[in-house]
Amino acid sequence: MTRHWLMRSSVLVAVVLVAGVGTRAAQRADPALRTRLQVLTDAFSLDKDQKNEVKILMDGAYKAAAPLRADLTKTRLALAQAVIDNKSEADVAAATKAYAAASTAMAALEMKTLAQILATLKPEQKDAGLQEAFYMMRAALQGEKKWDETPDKITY
Amino acid sequence: MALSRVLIALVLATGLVAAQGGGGSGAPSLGGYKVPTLFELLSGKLGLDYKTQEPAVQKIFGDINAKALPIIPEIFQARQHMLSAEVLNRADSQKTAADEYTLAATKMLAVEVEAFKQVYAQLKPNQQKKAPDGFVIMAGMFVSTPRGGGAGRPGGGGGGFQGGGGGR
Repeated sequence: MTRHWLMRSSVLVAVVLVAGVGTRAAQRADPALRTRLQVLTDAFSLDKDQKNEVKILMDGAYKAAAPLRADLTKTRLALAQAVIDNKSEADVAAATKAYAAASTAMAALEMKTLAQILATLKPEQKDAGLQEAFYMMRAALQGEKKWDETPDKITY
Repeated sequence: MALSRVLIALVLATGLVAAQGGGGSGAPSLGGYKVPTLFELLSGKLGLDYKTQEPAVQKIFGDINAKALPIIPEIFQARQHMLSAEVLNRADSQKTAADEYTLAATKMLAVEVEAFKQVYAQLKPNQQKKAPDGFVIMAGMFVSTPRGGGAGRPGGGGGGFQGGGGGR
């Protein structure tokens, strides 16, 4: 009985381990599924101290972006409602302007944060990783999930 | 100086990828778990039926995608100018780049609104209640994220709305 249970447990543990290794391998193999912190770490070949520094910068930016996230959702919903209600062209234009302004503020924060990250790096690191980091930053601070969690919709 | 060269390369790469019709799209998979595409998220939110509504909405996005494609490089170029202005700490350039981005974002928004109107017309009354939330999901739907060197995302096709977009 005990032996049988041990055997079953071993099989279960093995299955869990294999699944875990498989998942990690899949994450490594597919760049779209790395977290943003992993992308930045790989792109710039960050050492441990730099990784911490980047995390602090991104954490701060994500926190600072909270009102912008709320504004984006609010103005987007307002625009949708204006369209649904068949509001006047002027009303739709005003709603569009409000959303575009929120979108611009978010983009500015994303690029400012990337500039702050670049300032912490050596020239050769910037050269190697800027392109990937640049595209990854789009929408990095916009998700309901924190910036370094795998998002529900992949934007990088 | 080296950074400026990279920024220039970035602009060129953006233009190249945009000319190729965008980069990443499609749904990546994770050990059997498939990350849903934006279209799948939208379809789930609105409760589209797979037989008639999903193909109809896909066709709408496919048709409208052509209007979005020329705006994608404008968006990334404006973002690149925003980054350059930040790196150089030039307030005047920051303002110019922000205005450039607002213009591009407004153009893309017009495309999204056009798509939204057509999608809304396909919905049944009970689905229409969820339409505003659907429009939130559609944010950035037509903006494919170029991958390094213009390669597509694994599992992805050409540029388009299927899953490479997102964000606003």
